[in-house]
Amino acid sequence: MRKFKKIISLLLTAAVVFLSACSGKTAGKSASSGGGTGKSAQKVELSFYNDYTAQNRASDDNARLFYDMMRQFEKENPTIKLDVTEISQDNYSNKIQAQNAGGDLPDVFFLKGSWVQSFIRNGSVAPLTDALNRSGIKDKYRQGIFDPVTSGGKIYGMPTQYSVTCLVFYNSNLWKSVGYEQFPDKWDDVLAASKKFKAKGTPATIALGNKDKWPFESTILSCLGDRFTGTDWTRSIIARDGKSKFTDDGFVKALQFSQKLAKSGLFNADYNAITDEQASTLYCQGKAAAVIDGFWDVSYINANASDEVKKATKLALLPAVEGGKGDTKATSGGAGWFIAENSSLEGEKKKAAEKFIMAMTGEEYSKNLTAKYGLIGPVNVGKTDTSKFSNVTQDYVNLINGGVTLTPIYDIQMDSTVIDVMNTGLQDLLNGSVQPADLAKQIQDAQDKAGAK
Amino acid sequence: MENPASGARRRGSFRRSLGRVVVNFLMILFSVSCLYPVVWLCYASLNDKRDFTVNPVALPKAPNLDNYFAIFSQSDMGVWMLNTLRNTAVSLPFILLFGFIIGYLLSRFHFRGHTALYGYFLLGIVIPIHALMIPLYVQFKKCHILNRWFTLPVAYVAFGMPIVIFLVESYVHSIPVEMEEAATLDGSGFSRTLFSIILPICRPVLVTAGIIQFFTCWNEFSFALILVSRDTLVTLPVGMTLFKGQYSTDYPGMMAAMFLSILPAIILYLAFSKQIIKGMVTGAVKG
Amino acid sequence: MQNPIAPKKHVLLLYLLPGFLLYTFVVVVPIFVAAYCGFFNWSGGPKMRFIGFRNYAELFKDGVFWLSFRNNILLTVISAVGQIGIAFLFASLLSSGLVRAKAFHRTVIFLPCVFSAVVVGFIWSMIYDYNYGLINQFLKLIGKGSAVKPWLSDPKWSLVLVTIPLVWQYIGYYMVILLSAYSSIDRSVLEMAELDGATGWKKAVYITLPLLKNTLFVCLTLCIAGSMRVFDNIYVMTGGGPGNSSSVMALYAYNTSFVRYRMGYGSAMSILILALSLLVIGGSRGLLARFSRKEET
Repeated sequence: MRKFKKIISLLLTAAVVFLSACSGKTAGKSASSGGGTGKSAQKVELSFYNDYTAQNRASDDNARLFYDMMRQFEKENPTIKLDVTEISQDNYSNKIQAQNAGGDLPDVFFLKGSWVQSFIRNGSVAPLTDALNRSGIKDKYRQGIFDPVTSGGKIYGMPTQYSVTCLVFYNSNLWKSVGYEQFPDKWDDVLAASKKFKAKGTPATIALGNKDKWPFESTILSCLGDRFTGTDWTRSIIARDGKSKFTDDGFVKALQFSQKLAKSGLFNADYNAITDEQASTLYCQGKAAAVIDGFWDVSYINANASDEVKKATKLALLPAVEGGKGDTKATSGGAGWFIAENSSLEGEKKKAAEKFIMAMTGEEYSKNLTAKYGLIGPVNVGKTDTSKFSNVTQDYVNLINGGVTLTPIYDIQMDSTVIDVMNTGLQDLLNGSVQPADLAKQIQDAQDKAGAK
Repeated sequence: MENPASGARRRGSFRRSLGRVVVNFLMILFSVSCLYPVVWLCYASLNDKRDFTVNPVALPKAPNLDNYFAIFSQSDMGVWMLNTLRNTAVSLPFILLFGFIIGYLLSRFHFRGHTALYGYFLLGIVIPIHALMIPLYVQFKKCHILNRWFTLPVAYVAFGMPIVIFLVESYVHSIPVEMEEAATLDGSGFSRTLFSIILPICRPVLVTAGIIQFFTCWNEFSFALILVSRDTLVTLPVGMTLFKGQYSTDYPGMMAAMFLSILPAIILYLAFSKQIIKGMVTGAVKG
Repeated sequence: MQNPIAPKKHVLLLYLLPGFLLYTFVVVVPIFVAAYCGFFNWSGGPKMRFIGFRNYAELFKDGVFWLSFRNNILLTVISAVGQIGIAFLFASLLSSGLVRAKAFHRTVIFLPCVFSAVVVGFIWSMIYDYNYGLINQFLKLIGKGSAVKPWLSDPKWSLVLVTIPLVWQYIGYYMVILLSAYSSIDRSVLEMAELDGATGWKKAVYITLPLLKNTLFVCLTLCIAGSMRVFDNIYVMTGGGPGNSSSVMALYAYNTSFVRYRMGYGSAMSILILALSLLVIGGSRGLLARFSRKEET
């Protein structure tokens, strides 16, 4: 028996050693970051942290393109060696925060829009305004995209994506069956349709997965709120100039309306228990008539929906609200993630870092994104031919290029504590545990505590 | 005529056998519930993503090993496993050694500051881990012990000690002092008594503590995430998070990875289970 | 205590020192650093602003924190009774000879604590799932279809529902500890008790239980410590939601530091959690000690 055990342990150890030796990824990586018979003493090494993990790249076109272009950059710039580390998005914040506290940040790294101000205040990131000006295409970037990373007139990060968070993806077949050729542009119609859908036994009119707290706020309220308050209110809140408050009429009405929507049974019954992805899955399986989500669902639906659902999918903007101050052709969007440069870099390293950053976020990236995947990048590259892409992608491009104005995404630009209080409170608001006026006061308290910028 | 006593005895024995059946049934029910997740991980990992989202608990319609192939070709799972194995193998002996010694000393000798010391070691198991992530990071960085092969073992041994200390401390209370007194009379020095006489008696508790700490080290996540960054040092729990995407999660893929990650631990546990059971059962103090 | 078997003082120190120093370096020093950071307004970078006791003052008025504390206490009570209680029951059953296939049960019941919180959270989220979860399927089966609801969405139930997986997961942990303690009980004591007529549960409660007192104390300490700082399972299953209904202190501290970027406040909170945990442990031990002393007299 002992001999048997010994054999098992030996086999196990051998297996582990064997597997680690033939790990596909490391073998592939040694080509780019491995042993340099570095003759050129000129080689600059840049440490680069991102959250485009292999899993991300498999389903996110933005990520995949980025990596392809990164490999291309390495080939074209043999004097720059990239030491790349990928971390899953959930853990990315912790890792970067720890490094920030230890004064140990990598040379180049991804930053979420909502963290950038804090990093700027701490002096951890370098301004990229000069590099941007030198690139000559500053004006081609989409309107407002640099807002989260601007401070004192300087820009501290380059956008890695163009995010639109509030899009209505709807199944035109299902809506036709209850009498709507297109997604209604009035909420009353949506609610009326919802009754019909319930009678038919459709599990959800609009699929919502708010378990992680951010979806409702980021994909619905950011736009719905704007319908009620208008964008000036939002900008004032972001600037924390004290002129606008969460307790203002417009925002409170938005909260009341949200609660009303939830109470009416518009969403699937377990909206606070399932994730954003599970909600999209519900839609992809034809069990929900629509889903309100961000641009990432274009890729997701392309990849996961049944052909029937995919062909029937169309996009729309959030309906208007009665007496709202907001632009009915507006939706929430901007850049959510940026690349930043460590403020301690100088000389050759600084030049290399800036070259890398600008190459990854410049015109070429947006051009490739549109050409290869039909998606929209941070730089406006004009009208492109999207006929070879799926109907979902085409609809998305047409919608955005068809005169949509962008309003800020709440969680990218508002104070983190305010957002966290809002997100947590929204779960309670939707299931009726807290009242709109009370929640508005809680959020305003957090805003007051955050103080002036 | 029926003897009333035998009637009672028969009733008693019926109740006892019914009790036996019920007890066995409940235990089997519970054990199956504990086993089911492993079984589920196994067959769900043979599923493909789309079928899985339709019904996660159903048996796969077209079972395949694609997820496993993907893992080995696209990720560094072998490296992760090796790192985790190494960290655990290095940490465990020290955790048990320090835990045993300190637990014994705390139990036997009530020197001044004895209770304070007990409370001192309590600190390690009551502090929320996240509070220490950044201080520990900064500290390790200042001492230049980040990103080394021994970085995690150092942390694991320090945090693993308290539990062993407490378990040993309480176990040693049940060992009569006569054991050491006899040994001392025989001329055995303190060290010899400790390691040749007390240590074997403590085998059950050390085996228990060893199993517990083995899995604690194997599954440890937070420190492995923060204290090491080098690709070659990534551990299994951290590596597995790479399977969770930003907007979509490949559950069957993740479950294949999870299954692989618990497999070596379970195999080792089962392979040595005979030893383990023996360790738990013997060592009973005889007069 | 004059102890003939006690080694010379310097030998004692020599044995204590390595472990003690390592522990101090890795565990205690960072705790003091965290306590120190609690006196600052700090958002994570290298800059900090001293604000004295203001963080701690704010903590005492923080409604969410005390709600989380209440949740932790509830969780601790359920866990102590569930994990240790059931573990003791199983350990007794396994040692009593009533149960067959002892080795199987012993091995298998320990398995859940080997699983990561992600696995456990995922499994139980499936069980609670509105559409295909076991609970709702069962309710539909027995004709109570109207009671079907999205369980984890209900703020009244969320805390209890996330505690159940915790109990399930760690029964094996305490069972293994108790089994090893069982092995240290002298056979002859048990045999004598049986001769005196104590069998079954009587034996378990009146004979075995007192003999295992020390081990049970340790189990209780570990259980309280673990329950007061529980994080992973709650994070995976509900993230503290809906709202704050299943929020626990460690989760709130994490959110404060890493989501809200108030690291000074988060550090102060962690130190308070530590203090509260020590209080609860000390208090429970004191209570139990008094209770058991009363029994002995």
